[in-house]
Amino acid sequence: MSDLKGNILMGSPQSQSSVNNDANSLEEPVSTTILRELKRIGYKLRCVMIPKISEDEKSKELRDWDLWGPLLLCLMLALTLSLSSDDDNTGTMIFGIVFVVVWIGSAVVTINAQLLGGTVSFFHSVCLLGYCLFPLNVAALVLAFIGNIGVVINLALVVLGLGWSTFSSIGFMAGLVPSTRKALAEYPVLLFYLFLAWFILVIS
Amino acid sequence: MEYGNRNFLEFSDSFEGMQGVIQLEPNKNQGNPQVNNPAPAPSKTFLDPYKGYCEVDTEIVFQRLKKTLWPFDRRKFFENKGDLYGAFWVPTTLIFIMSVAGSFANKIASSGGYIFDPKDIVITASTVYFFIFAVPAVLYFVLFTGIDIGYYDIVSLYGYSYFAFWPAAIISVINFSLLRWVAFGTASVWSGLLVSKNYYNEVQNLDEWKKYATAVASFSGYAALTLIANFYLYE
Repeated sequence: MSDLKGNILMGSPQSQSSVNNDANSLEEPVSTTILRELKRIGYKLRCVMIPKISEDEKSKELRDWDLWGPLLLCLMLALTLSLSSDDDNTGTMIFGIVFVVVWIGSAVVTINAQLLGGTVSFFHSVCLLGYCLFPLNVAALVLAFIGNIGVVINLALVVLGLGWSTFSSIGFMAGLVPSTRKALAEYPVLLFYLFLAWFILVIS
Repeated sequence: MEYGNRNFLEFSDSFEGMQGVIQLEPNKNQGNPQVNNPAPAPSKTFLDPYKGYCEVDTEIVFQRLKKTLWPFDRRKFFENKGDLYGAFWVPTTLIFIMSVAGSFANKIASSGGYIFDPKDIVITASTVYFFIFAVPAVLYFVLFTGIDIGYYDIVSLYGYSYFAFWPAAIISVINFSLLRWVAFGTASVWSGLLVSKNYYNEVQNLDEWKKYATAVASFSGYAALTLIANFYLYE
């Protein structure tokens, strides 16, 4: 008669410790959790925004994606723009438009890259596009505080934000698809940030 | 013992009176309890049917855009298959161009007292996307039943035909009402020609009323865009 032997896995050691982490984070004070999350968001933001960091490193950093950073940036942008209009109804509509355009726009750009043959996690790409909103966010904030100081300066500020945002994310997008389709994947990113930049310009 | 790729283990217990065969999976791990997860295979199966319609390179998209501007070619527009890339991004870019040009025209026209109305974008976008979806649907389901043209091919062609509106949208910044009507009207005729030239042979064999209905349906989208542009957007 033959003996059958084997192992029953009780779960990897790694998953054990993450269960413990979640239990711990439920017990720590809220401020600690929030601070830790903010630090993480800040770290990712710094990583994405500095032009010197190569595309591969950026991509690796954001591989454990989170949508809190993009949500924060999107809300900030939407609030800034909607508060700078006088009318209540228009403000609500502006908020809605920014929100919808940012999220659905990111989704569409990502799906576009996937349809063109890219293999990337959906949320990874949405996360990166969201984080790259930061320069435009800063431009909108500056315009909101300083006010309308002249068309040329407004334009220069927004163009700077647009260029920085697009430059940060375009390399990532181009790396996803075959080289013959690079422009096809990069163009929607440009259109996305271009639309947001123009929106910021007209609202301010 | 082995049978094909799998191992079978015979067992027999004369005490209990059982015997039989247990099928084992081939021993891949060599007794290793911990296996590295393989890279997650792309599993977006709901997108896969559409991937077939996006097999275009940058070169091909540019060629198709160029072909849009000269609708008098007797050959078919697509060599074998349409592409949804152009069908989506050409109208989307058009919406953007029209919004920018519209707000620019407003700014020049009212010289300093202009209020930007974000409703414009919503209305333009809704109209364009509605017609991109509806006109090919009408053509495909109602009029072209029995003819062997795919829905996505019609959508692709219709989407690409909006390329003729890009120059019209840019020219219309000039605050001259007649110029706007002429620009958008020309673009409508140009685009309509593109669509009808392509389906000319198929449409010939339809009933009379279907031929007129096809023409009306094709032009309805462009007509709506012209009306919106002239009465609403570039005020």
